[in-house]
Amino acid sequence: MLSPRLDITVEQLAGVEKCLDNLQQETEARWVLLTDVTGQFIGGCGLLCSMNSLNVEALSALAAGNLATTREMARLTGEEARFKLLLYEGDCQSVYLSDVGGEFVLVIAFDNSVSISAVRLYTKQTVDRLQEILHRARATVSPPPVGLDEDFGQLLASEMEFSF
Amino acid sequence: MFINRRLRELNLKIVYYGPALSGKTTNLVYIYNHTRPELRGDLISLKTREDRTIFFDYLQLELGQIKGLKPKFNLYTVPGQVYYAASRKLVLQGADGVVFVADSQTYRMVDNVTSLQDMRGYLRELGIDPWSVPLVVQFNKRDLPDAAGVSTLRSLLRLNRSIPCLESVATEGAGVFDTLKTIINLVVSSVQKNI
Repeated sequence: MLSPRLDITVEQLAGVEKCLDNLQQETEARWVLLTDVTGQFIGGCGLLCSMNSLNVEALSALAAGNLATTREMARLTGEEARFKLLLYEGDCQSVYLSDVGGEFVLVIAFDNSVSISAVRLYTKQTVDRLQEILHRARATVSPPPVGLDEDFGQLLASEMEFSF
Repeated sequence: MFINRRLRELNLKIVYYGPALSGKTTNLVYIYNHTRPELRGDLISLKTREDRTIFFDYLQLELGQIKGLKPKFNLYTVPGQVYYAASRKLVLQGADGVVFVADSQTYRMVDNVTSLQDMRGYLRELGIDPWSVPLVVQFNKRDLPDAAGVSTLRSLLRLNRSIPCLESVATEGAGVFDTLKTIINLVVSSVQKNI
């Protein structure tokens, strides 16, 4: 078997983004981001969208690696359940990482003036909603995206010859 | 693989794997330095003070639209040191293709063989059939006097004819982009077959 594929429909992605938007508004977060455990950026909102300077792909890879590390630490230290969240406290802002069903990672960056208990509460509610949508996405079998045919490989190969 | 149907993005993960100091990070650094800025993101390196990869290096490449689809390639390296085994397994998670960077020097053969066996073991532990994952082997450091012959390397690593093997001198860039293009072509053709 190959690595599992995640194929999100337009509607499912809209549902995910609505959850992220709500969480950002409820917690007044600077930004919110969702990645899968392999580090693929799924969606985000807040300053992520208005500031191109934030590299969401790199943030996703780092967040996924971060939570994966804590899982491995849990295993090595004999903790049966996964460590499900991480909190980093900075001088002005904090970053909160939460596991979403073992397959995704939710990241919230918020000012230190925001109450952490509010972040925890709203994050937990969002995680439950996201799990439902993402579970459906995993179960959905969609036809291959239009354009991914035999020509695609050839065109990609010539594009690479030109680009590299 | 992650398909974003709204943005029409195809996100694929390629992992550079191999023993310590075989040249995995050197490949990524060369790619980063020789790719137009609009096609690449930042090169993220998580390394020790001694400049050795502690978790992974990461670089994203984007080639623009092809038939209305935007392919994005997320390139990762694993840490080669023996004691970072747990990190290697984590980085392999979700890999759509692997470049195995072997050190051609004769005295590194055992390290190459062990590393390739470990990689297949980790893939199995992750529930992935190691023989189904697109694999390209890069014989690096071909400029060194102690470099073993290609047929010797192939035979020691027990690589069958179907696995593409390329020679390289990653410090000078020789073979780096050929390796990248080969793995991308293999990954895309595997996606087309399996989707």
